[in-house]
Amino acid sequence: MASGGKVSFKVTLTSDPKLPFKVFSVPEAAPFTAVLKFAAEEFKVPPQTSAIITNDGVGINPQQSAEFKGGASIAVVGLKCQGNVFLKHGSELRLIPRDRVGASRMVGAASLLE
Amino acid sequence: DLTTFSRCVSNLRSLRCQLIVEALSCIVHLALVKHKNLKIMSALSWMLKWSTFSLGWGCAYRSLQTIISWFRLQHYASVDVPSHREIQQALVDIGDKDPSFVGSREWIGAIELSFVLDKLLGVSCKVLNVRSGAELPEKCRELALHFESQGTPIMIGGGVLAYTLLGVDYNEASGDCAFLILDPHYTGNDEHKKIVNGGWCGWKKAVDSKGKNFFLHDKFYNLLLPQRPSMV
Repeated sequence: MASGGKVSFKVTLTSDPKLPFKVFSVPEAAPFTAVLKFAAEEFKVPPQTSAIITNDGVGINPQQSAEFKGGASIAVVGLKCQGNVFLKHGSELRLIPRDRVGASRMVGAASLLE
Repeated sequence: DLTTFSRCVSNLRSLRCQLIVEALSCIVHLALVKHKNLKIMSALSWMLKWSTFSLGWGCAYRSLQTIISWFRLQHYASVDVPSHREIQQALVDIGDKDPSFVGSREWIGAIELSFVLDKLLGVSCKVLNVRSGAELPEKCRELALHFESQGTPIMIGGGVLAYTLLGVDYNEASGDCAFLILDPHYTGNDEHKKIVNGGWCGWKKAVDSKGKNFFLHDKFYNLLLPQRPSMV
């Protein structure tokens, strides 16, 4: 959805069982990092530990999706991706928490089925 | 600090599947035939020896190395399997991390893995997010479909642990399921008996015989589902 130099996204917070969503309109020239930051702040979750994926589950690197351009090759959303195409088209997005893992845990033979 | 496999073979379509893994000069052979609806996937090509330098922080990196190695052995990619440092550099290069990240022991997760796979291999991924580990068994049908259509190893990130999922055993009639997990936390030598008998590569049920949950119910999980290239 694009009009008057702005593009709109519907962002759903998946970590909330009620699946609340908000519709954001951002300037076409705004970086996608702004969408992530704005969405996270609206939902009161930390932007540093949040990520945006499409409804199909495809991840979006906010740094790579640099600019919104009118008439961009990615329809509806109006995002232009530099380099690799990382974004699937669509204006419906999901805000998910980022996992960070690294600790160790012993998984012994007892946990085997047989 | 990393070793490579020489070859992996997998039978994707047959109900009787064999997972043959060659680790150095050793061969790990898992023949999983007991379940009618067994859906097993993917040649696992990277069995990492947990070096001291990545102890306690490198498991997601190692899961990524497993996935990249799979793409190499399936001839979808020719890049070398990156080191932990090279993975970190890729994240800095795309702007997801600050330069100080390189050489650190910072943890990463499924989202970072998706960025690196895109950056280094041009591979896109889907992310499956569940609010609780209790929801993972409900995803078994979807995961089985992934293994049938894509066949790529899946990285599971949640709680504080990373796992590599190689297949699922899903009984459509009963809904019972089990997960073939390659645990990147393994330490020790590349001895197949030790790896298999020690449970470092094996089937895990959502709830074991003692009632213990394998996946934490109070933690969310992100599952990274790499997509095979559609072009030749």
